[in-house]
Amino acid sequence: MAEDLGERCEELAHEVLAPLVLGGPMHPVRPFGGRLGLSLGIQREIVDLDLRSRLDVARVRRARLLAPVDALPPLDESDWAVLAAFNDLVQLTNQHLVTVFTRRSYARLLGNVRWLCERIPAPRDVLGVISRHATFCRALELVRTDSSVKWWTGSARFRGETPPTRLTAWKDLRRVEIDATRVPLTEMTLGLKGIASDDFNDALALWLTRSPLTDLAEATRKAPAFSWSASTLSLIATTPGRSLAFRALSRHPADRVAAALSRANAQIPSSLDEARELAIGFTSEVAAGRAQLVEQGKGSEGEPKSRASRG
Amino acid sequence: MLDRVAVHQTRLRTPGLGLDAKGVALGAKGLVLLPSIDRLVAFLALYTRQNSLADFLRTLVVEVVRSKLGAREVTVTFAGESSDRMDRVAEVARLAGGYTFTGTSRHFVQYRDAAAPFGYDIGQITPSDSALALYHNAFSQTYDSERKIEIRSLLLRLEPHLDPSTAREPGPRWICAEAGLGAALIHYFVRSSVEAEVGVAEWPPESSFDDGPVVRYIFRVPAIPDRMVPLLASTPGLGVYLPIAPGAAVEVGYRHPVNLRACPVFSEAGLVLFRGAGRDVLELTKLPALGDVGAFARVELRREVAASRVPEAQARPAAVSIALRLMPSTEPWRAVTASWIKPEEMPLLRQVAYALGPETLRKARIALTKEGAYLRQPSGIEGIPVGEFFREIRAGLYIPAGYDAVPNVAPDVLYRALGSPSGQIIFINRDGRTVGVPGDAFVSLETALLEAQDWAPLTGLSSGLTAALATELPEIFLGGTGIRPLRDVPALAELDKPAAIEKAQ
Repeated sequence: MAEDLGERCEELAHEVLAPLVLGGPMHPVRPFGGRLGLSLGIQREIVDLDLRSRLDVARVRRARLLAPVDALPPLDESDWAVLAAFNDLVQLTNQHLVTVFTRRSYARLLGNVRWLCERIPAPRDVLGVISRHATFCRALELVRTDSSVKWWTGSARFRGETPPTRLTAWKDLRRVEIDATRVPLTEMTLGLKGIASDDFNDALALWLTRSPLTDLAEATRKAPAFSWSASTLSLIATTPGRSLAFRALSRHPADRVAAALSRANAQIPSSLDEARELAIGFTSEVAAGRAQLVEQGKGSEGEPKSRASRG
Repeated sequence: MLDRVAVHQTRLRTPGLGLDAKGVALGAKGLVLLPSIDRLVAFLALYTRQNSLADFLRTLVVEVVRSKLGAREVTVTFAGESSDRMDRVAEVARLAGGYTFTGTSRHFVQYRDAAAPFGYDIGQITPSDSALALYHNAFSQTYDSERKIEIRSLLLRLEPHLDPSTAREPGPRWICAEAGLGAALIHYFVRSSVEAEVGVAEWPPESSFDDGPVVRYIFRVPAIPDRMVPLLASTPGLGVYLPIAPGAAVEVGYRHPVNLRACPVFSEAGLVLFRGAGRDVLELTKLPALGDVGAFARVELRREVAASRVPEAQARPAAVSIALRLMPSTEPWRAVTASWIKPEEMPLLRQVAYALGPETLRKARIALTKEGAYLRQPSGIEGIPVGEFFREIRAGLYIPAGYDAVPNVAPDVLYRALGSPSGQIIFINRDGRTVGVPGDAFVSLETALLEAQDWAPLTGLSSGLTAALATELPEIFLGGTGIRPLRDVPALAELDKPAAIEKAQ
């Protein structure tokens, strides 16, 4: 059983973690569920040294976009749990997971994902925040290519699958047309029976709160809408965390950032004064900081080219 | 006359001569031949500038030797130990006009030089009854020992040279006062609140016409106020001495030709005072007992003691407290070990930080506050020329450099008046405002310079960098998950049951 779990974790690292960090095709593995997801990362490390090394380099590269770090800690059991939850989340979009008669399994898996996400601890320190963000920051960049193939006698649709060659052969003769659409993660459950898109996005929002810096960095996303959570508020309550969040948000247009944060601020219950003050204060600082950046940008426009190239 | 020792040569004719690890011909002893005692003094002065005689003082023997023709020269013999030591000695001897030899007992051959990197070997030993036979490339000579010269005696007989720069050297001082001036000097120090210790020493009478021993007062003063130095230096009967080595001090304004710090020949329990202007050395084999000058202050007794009465009316005297002020001072700046950098000067500090050396960055400590940054460096803050400088008048208490606090109370009194806050570093600004910075807030400057909160945020120009770093997008491919893909996913009701934990594991 332990060996089987080890193999599954190694498969998870190769098929899910590696594409998530390094890019490339991702093949989600068999779902783990809540209990197994919490425990599979205990004293776990990636056996493939080459993969581990490439992942470390890529993670550090990601982290250095926000902070001057030279090394990141390896994945701990919480990170493995987040990864397992992400795998299960992605499997919720898999039409092959259930059959016509087992569509309620989506609800079971969704419940397990929620249960798991609620029990994964938030990062304990700023380094943990950066480390987790460096691992999962590209989650919302995940896409699925849906293909619609039309040929002279029919058509077919493929969700996240490569159309078989028999359908795409002799393109000119059979008048084959392939229309590929890239579907983002938040829309991957559209058209699936047994799971509502809103439920999936709620679970995704809950999962994002496990990496607060990622949640903040993607605050301008359309869905699921950003809202403050305990982990994100804890992050901006610290000065280094606030700086990191500001840097992450600086990549997005100022008006969209302001709109997202304002919307999230309005959702904070009035009874939570301290949280509201924290969130509003951070929003003000972001606005002021962005204005200062704009002024600096205007000031540097007139500078000689040589100084810019030197910098 | 002499044979050069060749590479890998193993047989040597000189008795007692061997080869060290580097293949250099080396005997158990080294010998420096100097033409005169003047050259000996020059050799000692040159050698002690950069090296210490303590290395071979135990084996050092200085003799006046005489050749068969009656010429007298000086030899310095010591344990050879290693070719490194011999090289150092040979360099200094060459400069002092001497020759360097190596050997073991009576026969000494010329030490190596540029012409013979591995040294020399004697071609033929000169038979002789003399105590010493020296073989040089240009000559060979035999000597007999005439007399020994003790280093300590030689140093005591050397007269200090004039050197006015010694008057400006900081640090403690010894003061020797003649008997008639001792008491007056004690009371002068007591009135001026100068910390000092005093003792009384006796010397044998200088001539048979003296009734008793010569009594002098010996003062040890940790720091003489600058205003007193001219008076003490110019008053006849007073001598101010600068401690040079343990147990030795030289009169201020003079410098001993030999670096006494490198000649540990004086006992630390005694004191030798080298006087200039041709006067003899004052030597104390044992320091007298020293006591605080305050104990010798004049004591006056009152005729009666006024007893206090409880006043009928509780009249309280008017308070005499006055506000503390800072007045510009003409004193040279000392102990400038802190600075205050205002918020508008922080960009300048960041620019200067790029030019700071690693030692400065490591030793300087910075505390960031709403009012700016406070920098501290115990070895002096002038290396970071930013902000307003502060000097430390007491541990944890700073006032602006170039200013004195008035009234001129003791720093401890001022600190107590501020409440003696523990864990706080107090800065009194020029406008009289007093700021307390927690001591824990000070962190190493090199740490603070690299902390995340001081980084400027990335601008949109980095988008190209992001694109360069981004690899291909993660793209999901869905496929079959096998039979019973959800066999590890328990029902929601099972999740919170403890029994499910072991089963799942």
